[in-house]
Amino acid sequence: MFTTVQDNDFASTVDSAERGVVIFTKKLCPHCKNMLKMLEKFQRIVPGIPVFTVDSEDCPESMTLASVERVPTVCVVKGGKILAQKTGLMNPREMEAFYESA
Amino acid sequence: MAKEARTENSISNAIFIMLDTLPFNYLGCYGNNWINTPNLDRFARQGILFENAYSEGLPTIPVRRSLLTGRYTLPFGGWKPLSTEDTTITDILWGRNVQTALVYDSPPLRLPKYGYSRGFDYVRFCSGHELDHETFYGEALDPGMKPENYISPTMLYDENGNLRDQMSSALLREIECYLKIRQHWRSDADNYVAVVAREAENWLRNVRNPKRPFFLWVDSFDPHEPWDPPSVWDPDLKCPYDEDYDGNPLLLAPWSDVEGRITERECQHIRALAAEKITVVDKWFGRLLDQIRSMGLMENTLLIVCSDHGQPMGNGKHGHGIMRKSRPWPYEELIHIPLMMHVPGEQGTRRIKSFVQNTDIMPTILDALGYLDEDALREAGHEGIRTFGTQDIQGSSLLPLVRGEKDKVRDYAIAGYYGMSWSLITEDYTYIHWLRDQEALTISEMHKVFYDDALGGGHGGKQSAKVEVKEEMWTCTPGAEVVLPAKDELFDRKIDPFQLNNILDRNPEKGKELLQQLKAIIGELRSS
Repeated sequence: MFTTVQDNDFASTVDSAERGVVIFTKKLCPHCKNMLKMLEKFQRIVPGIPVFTVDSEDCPESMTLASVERVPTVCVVKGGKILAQKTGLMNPREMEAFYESA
Repeated sequence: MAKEARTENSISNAIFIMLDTLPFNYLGCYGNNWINTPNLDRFARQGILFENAYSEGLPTIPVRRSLLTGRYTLPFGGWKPLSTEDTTITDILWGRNVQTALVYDSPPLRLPKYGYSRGFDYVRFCSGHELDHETFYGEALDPGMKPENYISPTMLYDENGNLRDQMSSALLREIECYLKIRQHWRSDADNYVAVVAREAENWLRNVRNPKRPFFLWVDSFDPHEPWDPPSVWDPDLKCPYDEDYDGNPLLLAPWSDVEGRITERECQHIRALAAEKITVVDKWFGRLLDQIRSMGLMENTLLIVCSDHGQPMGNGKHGHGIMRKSRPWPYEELIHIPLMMHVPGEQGTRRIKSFVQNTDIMPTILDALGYLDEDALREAGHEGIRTFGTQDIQGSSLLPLVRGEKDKVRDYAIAGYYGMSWSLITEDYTYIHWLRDQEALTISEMHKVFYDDALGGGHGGKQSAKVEVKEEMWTCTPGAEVVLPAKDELFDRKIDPFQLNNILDRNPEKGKELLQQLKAIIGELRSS
C-alpha cells in the first residue's frame, strides 16, 4: 500500500517519517510503473517500510525541494531526512541494499 | 539427508541439444522445401514444435547465459563472462541427485575467464571449431592445400591484386588453420558434429551412473560456419544444393556488408553450403537419437532441440545486406529459432503457436526434473549446506503448454543485441528500436567492443562492458512526450514476416504504442 503525497504535504511527510521511501513518478512513464511494481516486492522483502508517491508533473515544488529532475527517482528517508536518492531502475534486491546502506 | 525431488510425472532425465546457427527456415518441419533434414523433421513430427520461438539477447554468449540462468539478458548485459551474480541450472542442481554433463565444441563458451562450463559434473570439450582454430596453427599443412583456394579471390583482393584489408589476411590465416584440421578428414564422420554426437553417446553409455537421473547438455557448434561439408574438402563431391557452382569452395566469407564484397552468386552458394552442412548435422543428430532410443531413454527423458540463432547470409530476407553476424541484427533471419521437444507421456504431433523464448528452456528442464518450485528444492535440500533456489528465474516452464494446461505463456517476444538493438515481436507487428546508430558503427568496432574481441581471445568482458546501458535510459523528465526515433522500424508481421517493408511512417501511433510497450517490458525485466 502506497500513500500519495502532494506539494502541500511533502515537506511535513518527510519530516515526520522515521523511515520510508519516496518515489517521484510520472503518469505515462513506463519505467515509473515498473518501479512501483518493484516497490511492492520490496515491501514484501522488507515489511513495515512506508512508501510515498509523488507525481512529478503535479508536484513541481516537491521536485525542487528534493532536487529531483528526472523520474523515476527513489529517495530513502530515515529520521525525517532524505539520506539517499537514486534515479533509474532497480530490482528488489538492489532496492533492499540501497535502503540498508542509506 | 537429501531427499529425491518431488516429481509428478514420468520424467527422470533431460537432454538438451543445441545446434548452433541453425536457421529455422532451413528445416522441412518449419516449411523449407529444398533442404534434406529427415531426422529433425521426424523428431518434430513425433513430438512438439514451437512455431514462434525467439532468442532474446543475441548471439552465442548471451543466449547461453539465458539458457543457463533462465533469466533475460537483453536488459542486463551482452557478450561477457558468467558472473557470481548468475545462478545457473548447475548451481541449482548442485548437491541434488542429478548427474550433470556438458559435451560441447562451442569455443566461445570456453573463452578464458568466461566460465560457461561452471558446475557441470562432467565436461568434455571437443577442439577445433571457430575461435579454437589457432590451437592448430603450428601443424604442418599439405602443400596441395592453399588457403586462397578456399575462398573467393574478390572477397580478399582488390582490383590491383592487393589484400583489401586486415580482415583479408585474418581470413586466410583462419582458413589455413581449418585446413590443417581438415586435411586429415576422410568422411563426414570426421565433422565436428559427428565427434560431439559420439562423445555424448559415450557419456550416456559408458560414463554416467545408469541408476541416477541426469541432465546432459550437448552443444554442437555445427552448423555454424566455417562452411565445411564434404563437398568443400572432397574434390570428388559437388554441393548437392548447388551442383552448377564452378568457383572456389567458400569455406569462409568476410564478416561484412555484402555490397561491394560478396556477389549474389556467392551468397547463393554460401547458403547452399550452409544447407549441405545442415544435412550433415541432421544425419548425426539422427544417429545420436537412435542411440538414445536404443538405450531405452525415450520413455523417461525430456529431449529439447534448438538453436541459438539463425544466420544473415545475403540481401533481403537472407540477411538484410550482411554476411555473418557482423551487425546487431534484430531481424527474423537471426532471432527466430527452431525449438522442438520430446516429452515422455505426450504422444503425436503438436505445433504450439505461443511466443516462447530461449529463457523458458532452463525452467522447463528444472520442471521436468522436479526442481522448479521452491518447496521441492527445500525438500531435496541439505542441512547446513548452502544451496541455490529458483527465485531469480524469469522464464516460464513450457510443460504446461505442452500438456495443454495453458494456451500461451506470453503475447510477445523480445530480441536484440544488448545496448544496440531491441525488437518487439507480436502476432501482428515487429517493432525495431535502435539504441545505437548501427550504420555509424564500423564492423571492426562491433567486433572489438560488442564481441569483446573474441577472435583475439576475449578480454574477460572488459571490452564488452563498454556497451553498458546508462541508467539515464530508464528515466524521463516531466512533460516529455513519446518521440519515435528516426531510424526505428515497424513491420506488418503477417504479410512481411522477414521485415523488408518498413511501415513506421504510415503508422506512427502504432509505433508509439509498441515502443512504449517494448520499453515497459524491458524495464520490468530490468527491475525484477
